[in-house]
Amino acid sequence: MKKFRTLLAVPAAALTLALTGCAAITPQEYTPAPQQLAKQHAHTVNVSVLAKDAGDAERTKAESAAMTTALSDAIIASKAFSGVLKDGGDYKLTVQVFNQTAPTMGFSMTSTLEMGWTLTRKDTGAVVWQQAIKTEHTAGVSDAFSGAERVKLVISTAVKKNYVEGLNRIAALQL
Amino acid sequence: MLKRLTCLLALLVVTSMMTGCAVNRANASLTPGADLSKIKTAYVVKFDKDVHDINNIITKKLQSKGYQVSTGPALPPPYPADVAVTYTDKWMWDITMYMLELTINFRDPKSDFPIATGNSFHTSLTRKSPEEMVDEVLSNILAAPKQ
Repeated sequence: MKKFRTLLAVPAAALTLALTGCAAITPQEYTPAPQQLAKQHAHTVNVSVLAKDAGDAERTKAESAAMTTALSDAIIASKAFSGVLKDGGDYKLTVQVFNQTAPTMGFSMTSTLEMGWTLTRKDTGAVVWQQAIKTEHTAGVSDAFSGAERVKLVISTAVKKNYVEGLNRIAALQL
Repeated sequence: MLKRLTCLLALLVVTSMMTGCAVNRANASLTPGADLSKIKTAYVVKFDKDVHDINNIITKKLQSKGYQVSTGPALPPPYPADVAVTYTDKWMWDITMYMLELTINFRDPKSDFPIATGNSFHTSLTRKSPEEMVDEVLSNILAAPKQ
């Protein structure tokens, strides 16, 4: 009986690990649906998103890249600017994660997020717009059964909401 | 046998539904262009959900580092200092209550825009006292490289 319990512990541990993995969030999961914006600026922009430091340089770099790709795709889809350039452009949009909470456990999980948005003119370096935007998202078991998937869902959705709010505020600017 | 197996499977299912990812970390960063060397005075904004008076710990720690510091509730900007300091603390229970996470932001006193942020996250087995967490975050912020 004792041997049986010991043997059962191995697949049990493997199953738990498989169900609670910490897979990275993809750019597609961070990208919001295309928005109908009040205005589309006839300027090009260079985009950079700085993710929260995850304590691992490679992981933080990958996270920043995924979030940058997502915001760039959102700008292109919603036509917030006439184009997104990897280098150059008329403006530089820097978005930095300042506060981000990620749930560790629970049937209902919430992620809160504050991102600092800065729009700068490339030719003069002047800051034309700077605001901090706060968003959050809550998900329950009905949204995602697995705890790990629920964590990813609330984090990515809070980011998507922040992107939507940021793009709407940019659309209201007189550039 | 079947009853025990059912209980074990039920435990695994509940565990998979509830658990996320456990992390242990401390970091800080500045907004591009931020220069903390010019800061002499600070106003620590008491977090409205804080029941452990973390604002007083932050105030004392900043004072020990040579800053003139006052603390109180959130005010309409501009704050009467070179920087407004805000924070959020998160506590968990594991035999006793402990501080799981602390985030401190230095903000522009006029626009409330974050110019620096620091975070400390320590789960139960590596828990730290609130004083240690505050010291860790503030030290990391003040030592963070300019961008």
